[in-house]
Amino acid sequence: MGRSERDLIIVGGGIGGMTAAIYAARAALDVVMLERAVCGGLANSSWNVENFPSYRSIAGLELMQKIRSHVESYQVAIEEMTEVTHVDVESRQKLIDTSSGQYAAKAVIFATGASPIRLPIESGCDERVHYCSLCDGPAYRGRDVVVVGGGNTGFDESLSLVSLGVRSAVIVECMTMCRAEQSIQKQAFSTGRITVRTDSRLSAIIPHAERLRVAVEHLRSGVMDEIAADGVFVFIGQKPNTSMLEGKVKLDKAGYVIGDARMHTNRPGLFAAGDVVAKRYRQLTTAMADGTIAALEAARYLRECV
Amino acid sequence: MLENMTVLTADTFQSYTADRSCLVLVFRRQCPHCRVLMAVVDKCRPLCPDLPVTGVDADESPGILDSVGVTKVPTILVYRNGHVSGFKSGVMNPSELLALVASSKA
Repeated sequence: MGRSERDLIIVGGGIGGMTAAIYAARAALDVVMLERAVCGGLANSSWNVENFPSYRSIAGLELMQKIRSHVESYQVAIEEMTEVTHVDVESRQKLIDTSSGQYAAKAVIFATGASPIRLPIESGCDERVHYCSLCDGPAYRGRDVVVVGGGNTGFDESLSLVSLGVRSAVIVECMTMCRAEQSIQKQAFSTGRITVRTDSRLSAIIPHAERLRVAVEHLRSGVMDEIAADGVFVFIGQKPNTSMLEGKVKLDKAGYVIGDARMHTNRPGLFAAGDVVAKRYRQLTTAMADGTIAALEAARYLRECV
Repeated sequence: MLENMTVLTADTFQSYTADRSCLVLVFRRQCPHCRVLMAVVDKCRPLCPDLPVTGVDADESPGILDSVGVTKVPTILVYRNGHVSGFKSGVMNPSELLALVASSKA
């Protein structure tokens, strides 16, 4: 496997990376986008996106396919199923080793996103613990589930489950109130099939006959309770995909890349965009803004510094 | 959907897998992880030319899932001469898929 030299390497094919690719291609940069799976990132799993300007409502997978087609229309080299194995970002010429060869460029944008956090308990029945309603929800038609996590994703996935025919979904949230937007909470409660238990933590999943006994602890009172269910769906947040950058780029305590308002990291020529960046709001639209800025700044860097 | 992937149904599954060696990918059309695994399978295809790739649509043929004990999608089944000799659920990368195929030869 040889070395491929480019103007710009984008690591990650989520919406931040894809937006950066469009802007970089329009700036006439020779750009390659490396994606370890398929383009689209976490948004591929969104049942319904309702806050993306120009679409009142669209499936995440469909939206990401449209954006990927847009990127393709600029003849950007898209390398999917390409795992990054090592990065060398200390010198001016940056080297990215992957499962399909080495890439070199003077500018790199990291848009590697974040991955869902797994349920931190041993269940003994992993086949009934899930992380994707569209993948595994249809098996629970007419049955009852517990959803762990009361953020936007937890509510969106609960609505997806109900639309797939799930009889009831109990959302378990450890905070005193759910963080999801009011509009999606209202939509969920209007189904009459989604309920919430706040201040509560899932502590065990015990197989019982054909079903599950889901043990839930009320955090303020310490009282334990059990919910009879058939499956558990987990949406308790994400962790940044930055293990390859540890010790090489400034990260915050949670592992997110610290960048400035122009998406520069502490390494010249190395930029970051999307959910991998340390920030308060992680939305499709904020990732797009990051990708835009990172690509324009990368183009400027290549013009001025090389 | 993968090109040249035969989608098996309740009518064809038993007879197709009865004495063949093949990969069976159990998927749902709206499942994003299935799309990822399809890309993995596509990438690995040239490395396992002895294993034609087939699929089972979990929504169209739920009975097949019960018969082979599949509870999650995506799932890959490796058939060798009509027997399931490899089985794994969830997304995997190309090297994990190739390891599953290699272990199924043992």
